Amino acid sequence: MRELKWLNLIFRVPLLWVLAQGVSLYLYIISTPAPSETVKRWSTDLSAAAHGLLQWIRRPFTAMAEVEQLQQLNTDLLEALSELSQPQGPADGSIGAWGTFEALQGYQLVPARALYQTLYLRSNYLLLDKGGRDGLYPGLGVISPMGAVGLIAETTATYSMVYSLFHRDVHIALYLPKQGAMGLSSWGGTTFNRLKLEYVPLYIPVEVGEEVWTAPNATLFPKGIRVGKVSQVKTDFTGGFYSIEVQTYTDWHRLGPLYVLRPHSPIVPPTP
Amino acid sequence: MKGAWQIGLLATLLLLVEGTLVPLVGFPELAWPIPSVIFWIMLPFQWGDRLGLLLAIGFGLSLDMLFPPIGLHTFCGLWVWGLRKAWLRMLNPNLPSEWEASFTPTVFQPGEFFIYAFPLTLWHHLWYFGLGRWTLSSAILLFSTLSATYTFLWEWIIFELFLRKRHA
Repeated sequence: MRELKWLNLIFRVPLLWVLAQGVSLYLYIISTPAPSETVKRWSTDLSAAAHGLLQWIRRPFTAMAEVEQLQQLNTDLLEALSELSQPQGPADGSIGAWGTFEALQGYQLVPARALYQTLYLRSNYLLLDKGGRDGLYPGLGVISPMGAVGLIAETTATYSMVYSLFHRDVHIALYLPKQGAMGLSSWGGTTFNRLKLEYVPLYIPVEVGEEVWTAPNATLFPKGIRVGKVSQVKTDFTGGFYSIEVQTYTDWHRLGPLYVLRPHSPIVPPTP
Repeated sequence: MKGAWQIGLLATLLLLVEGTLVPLVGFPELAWPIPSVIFWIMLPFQWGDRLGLLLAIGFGLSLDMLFPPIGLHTFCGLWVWGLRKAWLRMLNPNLPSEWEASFTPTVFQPGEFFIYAFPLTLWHHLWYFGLGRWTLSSAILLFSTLSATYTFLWEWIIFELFLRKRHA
């Protein structure tokens, strides 16, 4: 008898009507491009606004950690400047993500805050609190004081979605400055401070501890942004390339302040 | 069940009209008729809500399958089906409590049919063209109103030719 009562409750006509309307509308939205795009945009905006609120609540707690990071960065800068001021001092010392500053010529740094970031996914992204109104657009690189973080994939007027280097579909051109060799990054989906550097030919000697930077011919990042250090070199004779593991300077779980690299003149995609 | 074959025939006729006649008589920039709305308007009340809802969904899905996008016909049609009883009660506040068992819209005079069917058709079209074009502008409101008027013309022809009961 109790089951029948439940069935009667479930099969009430108004309830079924609402259910049928919901299913119909859902089918329409997912099968038609314009509504599905709008719903996606709304959900991104809503998600960004909700996470913005949460971020605002957490702000006092994260502020202290950011202060510590900035103090460390300031220390690094002061150290590097003191070395540069010595006539015989090393000039190739890199400072945080920005290398020798030469890399950033022609770029403007737009400071941004991460409102939300995914953790433990295979397609990791984060939402920034800056968007089209701040002159951002898809394809721009994002860095932290530690190194390269990712690329802007989508923008709304006020928010941007950044695909991380730790995203299965993100591959950027990397560079071993010591050897002048280039390769392509990929992420295996397991560790959030390690990338793979692929397609570096076997005839190039690669050593553990070498710096890995963004490549000189990279279109998305300026050349020479620090990415990490070679932590392991494996030889795959069947493929003719190394399988190099890079320990990134950026830790996805501890990003700190972020900067979007906006070129003074917009990037024009090459014509096919 | 009394009238089952007429409803089946009406559904088939409307599907045929939607596929063959509507593209010939529609004006894409001015007014586009959707005479199949009359199915949801004229479904018999005495069959009960559950069967009525099932038929309303079934007819909507048939239209969706034949004339995509999927879901739009069902969504808009169920609005008509869902509102028609309340609309009828609003028009006739003195209906007896058991009116559904004996009442049928096929007894309406042309004027009564207009008052009953046109607002429901307009409501359907506002949803249909608003969602279909995915915008709400004065142009869409005007297009929906003109289309509802044009649709009502076809509904009235179908009503007069096939559905209306004439008393001797």
